[in-house]
Amino acid sequence: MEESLRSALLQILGEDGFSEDSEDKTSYARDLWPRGLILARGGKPAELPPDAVVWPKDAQTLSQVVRLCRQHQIPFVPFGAGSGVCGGTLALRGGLCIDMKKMRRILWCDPDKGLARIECGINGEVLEESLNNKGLTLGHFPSSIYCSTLGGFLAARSAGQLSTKYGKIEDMVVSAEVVLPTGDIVEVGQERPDLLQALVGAEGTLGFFTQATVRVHPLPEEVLLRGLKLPDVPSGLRVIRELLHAGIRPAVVRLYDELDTWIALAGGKGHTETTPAASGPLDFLQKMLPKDRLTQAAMSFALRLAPQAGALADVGPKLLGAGCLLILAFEGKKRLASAEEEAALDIASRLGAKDLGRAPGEAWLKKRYAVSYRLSKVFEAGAFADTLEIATTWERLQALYDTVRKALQEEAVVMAHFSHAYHEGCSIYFTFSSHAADTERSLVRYDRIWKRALDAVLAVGAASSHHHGIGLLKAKHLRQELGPGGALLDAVKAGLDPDRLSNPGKLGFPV
Amino acid sequence: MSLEAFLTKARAITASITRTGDAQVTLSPWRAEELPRLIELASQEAVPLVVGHGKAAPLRLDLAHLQEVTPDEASFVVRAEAGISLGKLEEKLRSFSLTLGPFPGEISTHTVGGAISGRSYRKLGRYFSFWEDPLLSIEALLPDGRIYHATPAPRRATGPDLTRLLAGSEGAFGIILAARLRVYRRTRSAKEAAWRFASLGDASLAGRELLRAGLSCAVLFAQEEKDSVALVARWEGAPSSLQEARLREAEDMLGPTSLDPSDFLKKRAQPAPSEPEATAEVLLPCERLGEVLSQCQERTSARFSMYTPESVLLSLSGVLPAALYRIASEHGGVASPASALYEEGKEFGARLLGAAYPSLQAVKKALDPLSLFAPGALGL
Repeated sequence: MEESLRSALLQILGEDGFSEDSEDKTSYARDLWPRGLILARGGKPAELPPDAVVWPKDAQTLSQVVRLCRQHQIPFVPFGAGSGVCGGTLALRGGLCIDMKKMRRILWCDPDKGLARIECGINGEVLEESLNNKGLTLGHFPSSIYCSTLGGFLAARSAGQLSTKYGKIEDMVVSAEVVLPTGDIVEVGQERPDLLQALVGAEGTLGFFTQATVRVHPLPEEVLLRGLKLPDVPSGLRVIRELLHAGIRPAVVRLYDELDTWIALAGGKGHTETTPAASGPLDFLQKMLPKDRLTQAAMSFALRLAPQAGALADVGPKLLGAGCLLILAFEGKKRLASAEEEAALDIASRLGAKDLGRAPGEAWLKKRYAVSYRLSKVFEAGAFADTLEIATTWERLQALYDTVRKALQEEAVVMAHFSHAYHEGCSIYFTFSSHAADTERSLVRYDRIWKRALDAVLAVGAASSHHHGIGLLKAKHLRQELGPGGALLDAVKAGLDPDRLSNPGKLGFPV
Repeated sequence: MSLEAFLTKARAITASITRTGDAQVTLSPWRAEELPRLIELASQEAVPLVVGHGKAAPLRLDLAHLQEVTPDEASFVVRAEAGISLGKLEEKLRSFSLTLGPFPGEISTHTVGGAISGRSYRKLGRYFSFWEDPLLSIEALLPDGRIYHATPAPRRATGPDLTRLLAGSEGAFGIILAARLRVYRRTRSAKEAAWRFASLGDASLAGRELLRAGLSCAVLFAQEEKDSVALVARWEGAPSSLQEARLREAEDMLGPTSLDPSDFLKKRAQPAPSEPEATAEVLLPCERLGEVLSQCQERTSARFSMYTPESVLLSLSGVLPAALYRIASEHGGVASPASALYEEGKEFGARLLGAAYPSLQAVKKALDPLSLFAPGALGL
């Protein structure tokens, strides 16, 4: 780094706002992209470190940093909590990594208006707890809530587990303060054209969120959870679609396919149909991963069969009559939550659902954040795992599930659940696991599985991401999905970031 | 610019082109596929274009022939081409037992393309959640002549929302050729209620309470009468038991329904008269409504509809738009995001678009360097 730039940054940020230490650069060199985990396991944890890490304390400081970067033509990358899974924060051209977490205050909160103004570096769980202390909730519960920030939510267009009732983050934000890549500080919201919605989901390529006004809601008077059993996926989807078209808005809608259901309901000792054993496939895998070397070797061998086991894993649970588990939750005012639940159960039973009572839903609620933290054990066992979240209309949903599942299971064991359901369609969340002999072959297999899956998504005409975002992982397919819309996206980039310094190489922009 | 050269070459491509003035040519395509080559030609000859009637530009695009309607009954979505009016679209949906939901009659003559480019589609019903936008995706002609088809997914995380960027751009960024809109099951089952309030300000706070309690309605608006205000709500589309629960909850909050809502609802559904009284519309925080109205005593009528739990779309007659925009901006409001700006946009672009104006100007320049699409729209 040029000495003049270093000095200028130190002057703006102070000693505790700037670091070129190798430990810091290594820490900020990756997010939770599983491809990066494969590399880390193979001894390459930091292939793309930034040149320095900075911690601005407010928008004005950030603006000064950005202007300095423009002056020196240094790229910059935003960093919230680093829990993205698509490589969105990788510093492809080096430059500055800008950690936003010093900006983390709740500036004001007005329960009457139902709005709060919050600095975007705040941790998701800290934000939710702070609101709860005031009798409020954001209604946004991504599984990464413990290790993500409001700015990260906005950058990726994230979704929480209660999105059917509260919406995704783009439905919750009313306005925002943004530092543009020019260094200008603007407040966006309610314009037409809608610049706020152009910046949400831009993954730091068009500007950095520093503050946001979001909607907040009273904590629910009542939370009612339920589990239902359906014979198969099409039956389950029919129930969900009918509920939504009937005007019911469950807070939670989660339909597990046959393998996911079998693991959830019968994957361990002492568990019955009404007390799910695990919160998902990764939890199951982690529970099964043993402590002693002999069974560890056996497990590794089993995971090595993953490429060949895909189709068998698909058929097995169906043959065993696993069925599909549907978790529903209703929350809000007591009378309304009860009325919604009653109406939903009436519709579901008419469509052939078996009521399993409250236990499955309550068990899910207890463990709903646990599953993501089991991921590392799969990697330790020599395999790899990842997730793919896509969305489409009801009309195309079954075809999307069938096509993508078939594409994935050519080389992986695949599980899926349907969640984030809406009036017009739904998201599918695939979890897949596979194995290869070494790091290089793992990367080749990993890349091939993803290409096959995303090609299948494009072929059906679905959205290649519902809430994880694009990052590097899906950039090429995004451009194919956009088609001529890529020109519009490029024009927005040219207009807002004429120097092309803001998070270069993401969303398919040139590096 | 050479309009004559454009006309000569365009006639070789399509018969849907006529001279409609000394310095104007109208293009009336029968299919959207006719457009890319023509736009490429317009670009080569540097001929600016606008869509619709009453606007001045050498090339006028009339999309009246684009009226195809294709319902997706599984997804409760309809694909409608830009030239069909919302009223006619609603009639066509009837045969499928579907509906756009109750919308104010004033927008029934708006075409799908016009409603999206000017954002009046935002006044379509939001039956069950205020955040459920009626617009799912669009197909738009871009200044480079290509047609962008946004993926029809209910929600996504695939970068910036280009649909929302195009919607409301009044043609500046792209021309809407078709859209996918949400529809609902047509049903007779409904619950209605109306309450009397002393002022629109009081009514807006009550509306805010209803929406924050999760009581999203297909219709929720207030109308100023001689010496009081009526707040009117209608729930439809859900099972009767659920609608009944919503009504009971609303009555617990606001008291028993004290007015007959049916006349208000009928009046709202009537199409605008052929010479409507000029109205101005702004978006305001609920709690600032009273202050704004106190500065608009010359108004001849006033009403609002709930836009979000925290804001209302206030519509006033007898008040100059410029004056209302100024008053609203002093109280945290903006010109309505559900009405086109048209001429006001040209004059007030920077003020109405706020601090983001230079950014939007830069986007326009990058996308349409010759400023061929709707020159001057939004003041960009």
